[in-house]
Amino acid sequence: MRRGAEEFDERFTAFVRSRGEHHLRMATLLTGNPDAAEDLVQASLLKLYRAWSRIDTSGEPDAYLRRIIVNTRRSWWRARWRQETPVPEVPEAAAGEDAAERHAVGALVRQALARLPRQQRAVLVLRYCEDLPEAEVAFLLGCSAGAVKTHAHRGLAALRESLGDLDSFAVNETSGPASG
Amino acid sequence: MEDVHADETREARRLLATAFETVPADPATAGDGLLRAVRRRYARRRRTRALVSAGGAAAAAGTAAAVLLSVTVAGAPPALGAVTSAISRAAAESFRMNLIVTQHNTVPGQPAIQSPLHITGELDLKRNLGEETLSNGWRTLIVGEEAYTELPPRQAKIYGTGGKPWTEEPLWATQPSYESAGAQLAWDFNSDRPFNPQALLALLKSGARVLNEGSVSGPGWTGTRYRFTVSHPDGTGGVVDSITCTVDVDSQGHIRSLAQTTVFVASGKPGTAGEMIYTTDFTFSDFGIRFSVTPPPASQIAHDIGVAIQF
Repeated sequence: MRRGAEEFDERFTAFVRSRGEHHLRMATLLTGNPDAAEDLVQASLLKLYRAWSRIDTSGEPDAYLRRIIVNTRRSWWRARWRQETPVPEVPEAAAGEDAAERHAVGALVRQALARLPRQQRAVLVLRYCEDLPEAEVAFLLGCSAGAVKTHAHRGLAALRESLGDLDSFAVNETSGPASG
Repeated sequence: MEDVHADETREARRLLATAFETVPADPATAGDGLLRAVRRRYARRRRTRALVSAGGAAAAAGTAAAVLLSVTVAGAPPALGAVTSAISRAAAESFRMNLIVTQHNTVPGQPAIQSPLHITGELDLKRNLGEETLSNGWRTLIVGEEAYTELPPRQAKIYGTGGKPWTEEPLWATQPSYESAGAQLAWDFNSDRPFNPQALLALLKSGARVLNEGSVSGPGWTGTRYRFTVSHPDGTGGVVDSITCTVDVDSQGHIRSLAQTTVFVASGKPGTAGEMIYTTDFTFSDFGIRFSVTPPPASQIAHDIGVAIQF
């Protein structure tokens, strides 16, 4: 079927609807800025769509998009400045005390992540949020598996130091953002 | 040792999961909203490519300028009309620009950034050409729909360009794209083409009240200073408290300076958690200047620098 100028492949549309929010969240952690994340994911999806007919998307479009997001070189200028701009703080009114506390901790972790060197941040997000094996993180970032281990260790140590004492905070350890 | 490693992994997963799951959800940016945004970019890129391939870049810019000029000036208050005309005119001709970007930050925990940043160069919005030199050693060329950035050697090494000084990126990918003029203006200073007449005109058209501040003069010109402020512009999610523009227009109707101050409020609540203020001071000169921009040699352009993530 001929593709209209503003129509997308049905499978691409379904993919964006089902997985777009996941990648927006991941990009928010990577960039430290929701606006930059929105822009990054939009640009990456456009690149993915341009390659859509040439790639096998019956398997895992997530992997393609993740790679594009990681490899998308943002304009240095914009990236340098935008990552420093303020963003809305934690929502005050959550469903209850637990939810409010959880949101507060989430915001603290995002702020602490944003202060990490970008390689450490990328390793933590890809390794522990996207749950990718060390070898795949190393491939995505163009470094060795040993470097991934080092970045993960140092990044987590810096995160811990930055966050201080969060022992009173309890979360469900089985929950997570795994794709699917 | 294994236990320590397992504990560390568990802790990392727990923290990252919480950060991930509590990212504020905005229905406008996910799902169908995300699809609409990608569609807009797709359609815009198709239009640009078609025009450029037909040698119609200049025609496209001319059309855009005509649309801009159609913003109603007749019947508008004199101050609004003068500013609208001057901005529309700048959208349709070339000029030299001098830009100083400064940042003042009172947000707790937010790091200071290199400030001020000086940018000098030429822009021709009609032909979509530009050359910008930055005080930190970076250089940007705009040729049609492509933006080329020359990196100082140290940065080129960090970003893994394989010894090549230039990078290439489609201009559309370096420009923010927001529905609201306020959001567009708030972020535009970060783009490779920081002067955005369309967004300024849209903001004016949204009902900004333009005040005549009296006479002003500069080297070789006299004119009038105007000012307008938009508080809490739409589409900025409460992050932008205000955008104030001071515009100098000379007696020939040319824009001579544009000072934009954007106040970001960290908490979305003025006065509660500090502010971050960005000021962009443009000066314009040499209207109608003719210049050419040549893309760097292909052999000097690094196309795959994915190793370095520029987040």
